[in-house]
Amino acid sequence: MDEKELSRHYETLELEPGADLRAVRNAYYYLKDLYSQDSYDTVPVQEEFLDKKRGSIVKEIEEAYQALVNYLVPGGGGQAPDDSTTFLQVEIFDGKALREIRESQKINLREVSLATHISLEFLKYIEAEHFSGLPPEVYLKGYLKTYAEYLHVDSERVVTEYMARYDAWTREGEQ
Amino acid sequence: MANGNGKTVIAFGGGKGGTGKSFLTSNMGICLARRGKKVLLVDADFGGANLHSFLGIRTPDRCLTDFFENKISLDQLITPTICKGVGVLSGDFRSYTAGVLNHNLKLKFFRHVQKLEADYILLDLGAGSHHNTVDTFLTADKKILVINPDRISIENMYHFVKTCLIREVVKLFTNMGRKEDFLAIYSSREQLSLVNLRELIDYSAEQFGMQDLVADAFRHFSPYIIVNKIRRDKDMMVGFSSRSILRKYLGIHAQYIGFLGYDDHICDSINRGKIFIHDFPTLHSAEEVKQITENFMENRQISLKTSINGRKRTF
Repeated sequence: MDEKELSRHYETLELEPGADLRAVRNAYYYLKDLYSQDSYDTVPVQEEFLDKKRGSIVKEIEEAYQALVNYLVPGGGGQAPDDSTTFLQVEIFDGKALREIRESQKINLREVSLATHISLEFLKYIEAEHFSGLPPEVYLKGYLKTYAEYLHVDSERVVTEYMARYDAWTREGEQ
Repeated sequence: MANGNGKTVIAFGGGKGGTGKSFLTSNMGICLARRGKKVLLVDADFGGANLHSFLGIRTPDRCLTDFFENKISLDQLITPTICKGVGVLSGDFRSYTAGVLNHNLKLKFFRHVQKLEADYILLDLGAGSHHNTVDTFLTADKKILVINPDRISIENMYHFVKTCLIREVVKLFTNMGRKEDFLAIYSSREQLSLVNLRELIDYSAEQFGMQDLVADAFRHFSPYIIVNKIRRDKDMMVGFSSRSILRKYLGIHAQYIGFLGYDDHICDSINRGKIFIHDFPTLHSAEEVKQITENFMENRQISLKTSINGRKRTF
């Protein structure tokens, strides 16, 4: 990718040239959401929002994201994660699903730990569903919520569904 | 972007009343003065002047009515405030025809304002998108849009910005001796099926090969955005969405320089005749005003990266 193309993609995602993967990801999720649905901040400019124009903006955002991820992740070469198809098809948010979503976004656990202040160990245990190694319930719920928000997935669902599995494990232990 | 003499005129606008223009004019002005600058606050809200109330002044003994009706020069009307380095030109609150001030008189007023001695001249504009307000906004070196996270405020802000853009485009066409041509396109915009402002402007520019001039004017417009009265974290995102929409739909590069939480103490200070930032210097919202001023001075923006973490919009 040449310089010009690169800066055009950064411009599309409204970032300074050279912004890192995390910034790229945040901008992508935010902008895609903004231009894919109506909200109180877009309705007032409805008149300017012709569907055609809107569609082309979303397309540009997708393209810019894909190009920048491929550029920033050496050897990544993968597909841009598309939460509208993949994530919504998650049947149950268990440890495995969280790991898969994270990996599809090309984020490693250390990165998550740095951003969320959840220890690397707990993150590993969450994904592996190594329940006995996890902290008390109230803390666990908080961690799950933070982690889910970091991954841009429905945190309410994550907490409910993951905790259901955790509770089942607790009950087993009691019997 | 200051004038040749190192003076910077900053205008606070945004279309809707009650968004916090006067509050930010006064309190940001005080923050600028604390950085050793000479600051002059001007109440340019004709017909709704109340900037003095934000500065703990009960009834100004001098005000713009004296300029408009008694021909007293502006420098004699400046009232010092209790804050070092901050003077105020109180609004025209003693006349009751102010809303329909003669256009030439207003032009004269702004010419005189530009000549006043100060490092920063802050103009507190009235609500609405009347061409007088918009023209004043456009003459400023730095233009600040104060918005709230609600649909009405956003609606008015876009209308205000679009009015600004139309004024700029008319000015360009007038300079090129093509004002009538533009107005002709404008009045037949429906027949030409130009459904929105962007299409109208693009079409007109293309007709006369003025695309570059228009793009330049839009780039030059570059306003700042401040989101006031946020009540929950995600409200701050309105600054990003407005910035993005202005950029992607209207081709304007705005800068999102800060947000400020809704705070009852502000009203409380004013009611007690105090200046907020003096009255409650340690409150979070006072810190936020300082931060906004700093971002403004240092040309820093709020970044999505730092603010989105754990505070994202709910899908």
